[in-house]
Amino acid sequence: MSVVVSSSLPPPDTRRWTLDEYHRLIRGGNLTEDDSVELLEGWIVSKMSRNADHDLAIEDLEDALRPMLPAGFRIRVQCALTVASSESEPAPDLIVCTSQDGRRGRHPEPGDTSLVVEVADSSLRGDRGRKLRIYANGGIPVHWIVNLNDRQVEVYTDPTGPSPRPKYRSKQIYRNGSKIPVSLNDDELGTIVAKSIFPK
Amino acid sequence: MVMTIKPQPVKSHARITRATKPAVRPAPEVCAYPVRRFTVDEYHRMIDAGILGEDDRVELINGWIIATMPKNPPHEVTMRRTELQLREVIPEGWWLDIRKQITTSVSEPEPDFTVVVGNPDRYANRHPGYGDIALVVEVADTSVIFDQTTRRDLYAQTRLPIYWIVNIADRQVEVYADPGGPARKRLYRSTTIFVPGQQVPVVIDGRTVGQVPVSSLLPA
Repeated sequence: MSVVVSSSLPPPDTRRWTLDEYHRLIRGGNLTEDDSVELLEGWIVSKMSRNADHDLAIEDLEDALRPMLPAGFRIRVQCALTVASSESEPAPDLIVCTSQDGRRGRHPEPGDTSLVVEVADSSLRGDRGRKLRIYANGGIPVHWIVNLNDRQVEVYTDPTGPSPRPKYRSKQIYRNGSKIPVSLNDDELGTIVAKSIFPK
Repeated sequence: MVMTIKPQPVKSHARITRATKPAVRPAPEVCAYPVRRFTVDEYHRMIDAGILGEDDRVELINGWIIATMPKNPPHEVTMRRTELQLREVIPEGWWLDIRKQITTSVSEPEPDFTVVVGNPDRYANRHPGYGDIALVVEVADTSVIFDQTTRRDLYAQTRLPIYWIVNIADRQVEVYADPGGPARKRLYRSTTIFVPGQQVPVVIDGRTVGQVPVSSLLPA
């Protein structure tokens, strides 16, 4: 039996969880691998299902980035990233982080992470607002939103870090043939042509 | 058992009428994320594992774990008045629970009052649920919208026979009764509003066991 539910969004005062509680829920088997969830600003959130173009864009981006990466860097796709400053553990579409020496037993954190990418179509508003806030709060230096609806890549830099209103102070938009600079810790590694990421 | 109901004198509160402003509380944190819902089983495991502790003032409502709001003085005084009135009329064989959990298929709410059948030992290994409950009562001020919508739907779905909202904001008692309808869309088919000057009948298991004056429940 299920109940009549007035709305799919939770009521006010839905309980928030700390990262520690969230990890205990996972360890205690309350959240399992079948659970497709993230911790976003203390809320345990079901992940959205993704369409084919979304996943294709991640593949194309991964192919473009991989040859540029120097030794010691990794690409992770839809894996957990711990952002302690905002009680969050999202699973971004793609991150570039240092390889795992020294972080056995934990997920990458903002200090390990040079670039975080979200591919957005239907979930654009959410990604733009809330996840950007989480990444800016963590101080991840560069955040890309691959915006499938508008066929543009938005590059956000210069995060505020922990703040009541976290944001990126700079935003650049790349479309069509314009070249998106790929830099890791201020070293420019190369460029990616914007339209190469989007499905033909 | 026949109960005689003494009419409650309406007291004058002129001397204690001060401007009682509700305590200022922060706006509830509205969450726009599709938060994951938990089953009653998962919820119990969190409690058993100590992840949800005794300090957690929460309810499970339609799978969402919700912090119960801190109560302000008008709410608490209405609780006391309502308790007094209900204790007067509840017949033998029934028990008045105050802020105790009840269990439904997808929820474990904690109504302000629940009139349950039998003695407390009946509930040694489980919380009261459908079939044990004659009446649920919520005292509502800031929570009134939630109590009139999500909570009402939940209680109707669980077929709790009668649900009262002692509505402080609108100074009325709302009585919802006769839950029914298609299996997944049960509603209370009867709604009656009682205002000060009127008496609310207390119906337990189909029998009217007493009358409670609206003005005896609401803060002066």
